[in-house]
Amino acid sequence: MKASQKFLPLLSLAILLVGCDGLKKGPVDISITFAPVFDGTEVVYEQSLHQSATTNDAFTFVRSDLILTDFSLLDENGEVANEIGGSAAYVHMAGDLSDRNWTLTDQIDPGHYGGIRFYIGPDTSANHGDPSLWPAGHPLNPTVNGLHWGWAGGYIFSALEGTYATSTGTNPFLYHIGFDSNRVRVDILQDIDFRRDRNVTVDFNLANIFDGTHLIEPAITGDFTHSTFDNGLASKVRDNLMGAFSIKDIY
Amino acid sequence: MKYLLPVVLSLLTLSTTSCNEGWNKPDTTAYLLEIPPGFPPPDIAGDNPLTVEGILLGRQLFYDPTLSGDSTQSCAGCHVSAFGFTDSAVTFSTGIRGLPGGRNSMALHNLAWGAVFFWDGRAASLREQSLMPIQDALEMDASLAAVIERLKASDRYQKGFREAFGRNKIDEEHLGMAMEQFMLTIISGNSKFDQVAAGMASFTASEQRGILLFNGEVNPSSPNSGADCFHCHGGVLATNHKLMNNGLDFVLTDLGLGDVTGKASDNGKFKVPSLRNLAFTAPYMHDGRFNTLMGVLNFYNENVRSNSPNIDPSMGKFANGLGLNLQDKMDIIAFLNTLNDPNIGTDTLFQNPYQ
Repeated sequence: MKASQKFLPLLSLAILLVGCDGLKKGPVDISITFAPVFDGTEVVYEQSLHQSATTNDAFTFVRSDLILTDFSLLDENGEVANEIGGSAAYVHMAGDLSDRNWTLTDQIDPGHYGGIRFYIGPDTSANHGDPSLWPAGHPLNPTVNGLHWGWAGGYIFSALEGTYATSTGTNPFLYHIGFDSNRVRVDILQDIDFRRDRNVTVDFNLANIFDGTHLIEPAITGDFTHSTFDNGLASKVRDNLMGAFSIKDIY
Repeated sequence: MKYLLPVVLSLLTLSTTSCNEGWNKPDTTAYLLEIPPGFPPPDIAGDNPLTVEGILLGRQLFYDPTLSGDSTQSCAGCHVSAFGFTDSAVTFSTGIRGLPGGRNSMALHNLAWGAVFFWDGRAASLREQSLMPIQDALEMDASLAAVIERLKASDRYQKGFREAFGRNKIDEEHLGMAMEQFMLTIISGNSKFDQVAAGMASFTASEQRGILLFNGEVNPSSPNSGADCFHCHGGVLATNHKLMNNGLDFVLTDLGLGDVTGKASDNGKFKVPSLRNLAFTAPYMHDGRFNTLMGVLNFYNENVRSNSPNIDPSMGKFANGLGLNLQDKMDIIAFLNTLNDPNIGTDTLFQNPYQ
């Protein structure tokens, strides 16, 4: 048998699956890597110092942990076009690439989309469910994320910690955002071609925590919250988180 | 005849590859780890499945003093079951050379949920951790090569390793794997706290008040302001498994994680221990500086060094003190005592197999 006769069936199968233009015929994979930045500058946890553009605060970040859930793709009108129900990720921004990654395999219908959506925090059912039921390695397993409050029931949706320096000294800040009312939806609107497997880099702009919908000066607005009895600080952080994400790169 | 050489070569290849592993695979009995109610499933490495044979071998090794340089001290010498698998109320344990170690012996329980081990987190697995004290000059001070030779010379261990892992498996790797299997089985989840969580017991008034203080955040604006213990010691495992600086010292004499990573930002960070079985595991902290739980609470209440390098942000509100009075502290201690599991020192699964 000639070599061409041996490989022709294989080549045909490949073309059938992928197409001559490299586009997949079946579900595509999306791998999202989150990159912590401060107004475009890379954040190195426990090391880099970042001056606010609007206040006198200079920030160093120690921890930015998030529980992300319910990933979906949006159409050109911003409506849900492809929802991955039950999807979840624990993102440890201070960690390695694998700690900041959310991969969805064989779940995305190939096509053109108008954006992506996810939530910070689990839905009410998961938030009040039995955390011991999540299997080992699952993002909502408390051993994986270290973000379950236990006593109060429910998860910390986002744990944002670090220090802020002003003219009078350096102090810690700690924002632990939880409870159902603080679950926040993040929409990133952008034309996206998902007709093939894609890697997406999403910037997480930590500057937005303090300067977004609300201006938060820790020394004035508050540098500590566990989402109760905090004069609305947690809800301000929640609102600011909505605008903290943007797509940097798709390849 | 021309086919004889390929056939012979094929047979030789088979005999040295897949078939070899096949006939050497021991006939083991799988062991299902019993997870206490309310505990999340642990993530256990799949390359060392728990077996009855492997666990028994690991327990034998754990209690065997021949793993030390002069054959006088076993792992159990500094990890005594009656003391929650710490040493018997000493600050620093003494090794075979009569020299004290540098840190307090850690309690061993619920290790299946841990990610890193030792106070400074320098071991990424139990199998890795178990080999280090054997070689440490301040502890068992033995060479692994010498230990392996002793094990090979023992009929009991020839049989034990063969039954657990197969033939010709007495080596460092399988020594660590056996120890790992045994230590994974030391599970503590039968305290009064667990009984209450299961609806089979009730807290006293003092214990109830204690848990509220334990789980209350430090927040002057809140009517439920508490001691904020839950932040690092919350959940059924009573630890967040992280390495943190809790503000013990301004001047760091022990760099902890910083010595392992070489990063200045890690100086002063130590593993957050579980608060289970505290009645058995005094003294407390990485250097055993506090002999009593009241001493620990007094530290958190009024002596946190807010200017300690790399102090965790969660300790920020401790700088002004917690404002706990004596009754508050006694109630918190009452609650902590509900985390003591009487089985840790008596469960026959953990005891010395040679006695």
